[in-house]
Amino acid sequence: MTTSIVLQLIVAGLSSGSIYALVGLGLMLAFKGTGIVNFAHGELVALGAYAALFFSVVLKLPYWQVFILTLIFCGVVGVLLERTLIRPLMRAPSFTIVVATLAIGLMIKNVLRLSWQESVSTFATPFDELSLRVGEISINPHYVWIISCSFAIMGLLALFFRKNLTGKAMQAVSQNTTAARLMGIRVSRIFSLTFAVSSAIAALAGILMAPVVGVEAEMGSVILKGFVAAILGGFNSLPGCVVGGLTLGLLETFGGAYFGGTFKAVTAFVLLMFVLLVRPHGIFGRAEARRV
Amino acid sequence: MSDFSLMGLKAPTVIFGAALLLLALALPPWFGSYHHYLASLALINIIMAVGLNILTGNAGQISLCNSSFMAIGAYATTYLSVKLGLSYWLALPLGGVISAISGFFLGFPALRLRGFYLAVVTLGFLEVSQILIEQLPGITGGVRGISSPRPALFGHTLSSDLSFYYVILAITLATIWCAYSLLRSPTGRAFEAIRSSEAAAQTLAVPLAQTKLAAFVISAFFAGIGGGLFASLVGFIDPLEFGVWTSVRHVVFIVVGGLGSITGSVVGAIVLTVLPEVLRAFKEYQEFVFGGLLLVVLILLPHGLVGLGPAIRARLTQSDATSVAAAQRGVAE
Amino acid sequence: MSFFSIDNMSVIFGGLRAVSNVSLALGEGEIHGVIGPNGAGKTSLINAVSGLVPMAGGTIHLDGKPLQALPPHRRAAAGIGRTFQHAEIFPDQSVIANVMTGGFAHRQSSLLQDFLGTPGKAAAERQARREAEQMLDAFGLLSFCDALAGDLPFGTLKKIDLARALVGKPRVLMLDEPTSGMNDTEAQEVIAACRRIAGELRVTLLVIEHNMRVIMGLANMIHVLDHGEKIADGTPAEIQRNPLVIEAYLGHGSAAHA
Repeated sequence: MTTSIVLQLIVAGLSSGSIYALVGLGLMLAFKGTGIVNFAHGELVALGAYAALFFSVVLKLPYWQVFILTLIFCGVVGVLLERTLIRPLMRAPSFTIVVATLAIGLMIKNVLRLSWQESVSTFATPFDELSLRVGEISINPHYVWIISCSFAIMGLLALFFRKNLTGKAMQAVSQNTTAARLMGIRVSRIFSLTFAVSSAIAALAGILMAPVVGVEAEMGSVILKGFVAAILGGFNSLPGCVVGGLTLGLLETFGGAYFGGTFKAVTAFVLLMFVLLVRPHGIFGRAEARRV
Repeated sequence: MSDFSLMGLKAPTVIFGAALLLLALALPPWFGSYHHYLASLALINIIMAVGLNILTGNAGQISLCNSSFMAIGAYATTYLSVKLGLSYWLALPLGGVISAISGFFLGFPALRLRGFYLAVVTLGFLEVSQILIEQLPGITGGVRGISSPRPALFGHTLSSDLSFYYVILAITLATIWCAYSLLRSPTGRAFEAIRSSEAAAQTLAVPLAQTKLAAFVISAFFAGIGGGLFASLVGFIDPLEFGVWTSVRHVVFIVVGGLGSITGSVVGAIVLTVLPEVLRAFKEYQEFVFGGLLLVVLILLPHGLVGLGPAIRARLTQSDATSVAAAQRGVAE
Repeated sequence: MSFFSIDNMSVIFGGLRAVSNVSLALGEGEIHGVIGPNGAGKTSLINAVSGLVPMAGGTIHLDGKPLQALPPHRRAAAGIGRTFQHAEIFPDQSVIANVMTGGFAHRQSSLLQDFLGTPGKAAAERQARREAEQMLDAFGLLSFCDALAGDLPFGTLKKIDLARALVGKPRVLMLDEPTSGMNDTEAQEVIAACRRIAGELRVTLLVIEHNMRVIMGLANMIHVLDHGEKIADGTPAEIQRNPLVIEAYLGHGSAAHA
């Protein structure tokens, strides 16, 4: 195996890994902010991809406008979802939450499939014509864009939580809703904001994925990889989730190259079982002492 | 209200069950092959729902991979009877047992997980089972599928949908009997106990690990039997039949019918097998309709359709009481 | 060695010593009380005996056999029963099903029999139901048999919790505030029933109780916990005179009911 192939595999692995990290991050954010594990998150990824497809193919907008519009559109959809369907579920048992968000996902998937019957399943990006070479090795520019864009967004998010007052308020709400409310934080607004950001991140994953895998209603199945990324990070740490996503992406890509497609396909599940059984608090997580 | 009861069952349940059984036995000869096929499908869905409801409704373990166990039963039964030449009547229960063994292994991670973590793991298991079906064409026929012929009974192939329907009916009744007996036994009460309070259950000597594993094994066994019957009813199986949509449909059966209730499983499976056929024109919207139905039931009818009966009765007696009270007031005035 | 003993038990929650080196010893058939201000570690003590919280140190012996290494359900099967402060009744089940669950340790049918619904299982089921009905009758709850437990008031749930624990025929029964949510008359009735059944079944009782009148009349021996440590033990009369006990209660600003 030559270095050029190894390098290409690394780039491909990091690129799918950063998508997984983004999906995981969106899931984690919604969970930390509202206590809801959103099984419709995968369909929000698909929604982002379809929205981008619509803005690009039907409205013929340039990529950058498509990019911004899609994020805004999905952020708004996230707020609407939270206000109408998610909020009544907030205190429900976990079974209800899982089933209800699955139902929401089914409905979104059905709407997406019915509303886009065209044969076109991809849209133009500025990276289609680009060719990137490092010495002898050619690298898919989409991959580079995915990696850098994801990292930029994840960096921004980290800053947001550390420096920005709203970010801190979101953390406060996630830790203790009642206390946060007493401190004068407008909790309901924070819930909506959390869902807006979570959905926008999902949409971002969709836009980034679409040119590589094509737009289709079943894209939502990426949610499982997102879960694995987030759970590897203990479901409560941003860097943990990023490392989890990248680990999964690299393992899958290299495993697939060496041992074939079946190996690639089961990597996520095996990793998930391993983490849940051996390190249930994630790679970096610490066990919390709980009082019964 | 009458105090009539049979083996601990309330009068409405007994009457409903008897009427349904009578219809199931007597009506089919008057209908055509398509209806026999549809009725058989409804019966298989009852088996799937009863099995899943024990695991989820009674023992409180979320499972999004009921269709994987169905697949394991379907492929195992087909492989054993077609490729290995075993009698179908041996292959079918063996398929159930193989599915139950897989349920046992999936149950292990479930011992340490609950709530949505379990949902994620079962979703992962579903994905893996789909991939394995595709990657093992020698056994499963891969993505192209495999055909699964109708079995023979006493030297006659059950090629007519009516004759196979009666076989499936008998097995469905046996399933309901087992589930009924189980829920009124120490094991069934242990399921309920671990769902309500693991702490209290343990202090009553209920072993958490064994009880959860038992729930997974029993549920997977029923799903395996249902899968084996499904394969030979349809005659041809491929991985698409056992995807996440099928699992979610089983969850819809029990949520809409009523969690933790056998009657609920039966009602949910029948209604939601027949409904899509009636609404054939809306086939494209099926996921939307099922999803919407699920949300409506979760929010408005937390006990499902079977919860409607007692709710209506309570409303009626309440209005009786108020009218009696009003009448008395009238007299007093 | 005593019939039931806890030796040097400690329970630690993330740095906080909820129970610190506590030792108790009960003879067979005795009734001991555990009192102490809120947060003294009483519930943690019995949670640790049940195995619901891990012990940081110490041993538990029942009839000479060590229990501390066993998982909770094995301790229950060995004869350690308990009730809960908040009753922990299974709300979606009927009252009779709740109480029948209490007899799980003595079930007469196997998993396979339960599944197949054999005649043997049906007979065992009838027997279990009779026993549960008798126990409910002893607490005056027979009329609630088929009611959904979740619909009943707290005081009734506490009685069901007791009945459920007693159906398991424990050798040691730990009661966590058995009369909370009841008025004085009700409390006296429950305690009388409890005492009678415990006597008939030769159950050893360890009772946490806030109602001083109840506990002083019931127990042979009282142990006082404060800040996780045992500060005194003795007969009810001794305890009522003990200055340390009065200090522990008054020092926390909560007056003894006695």
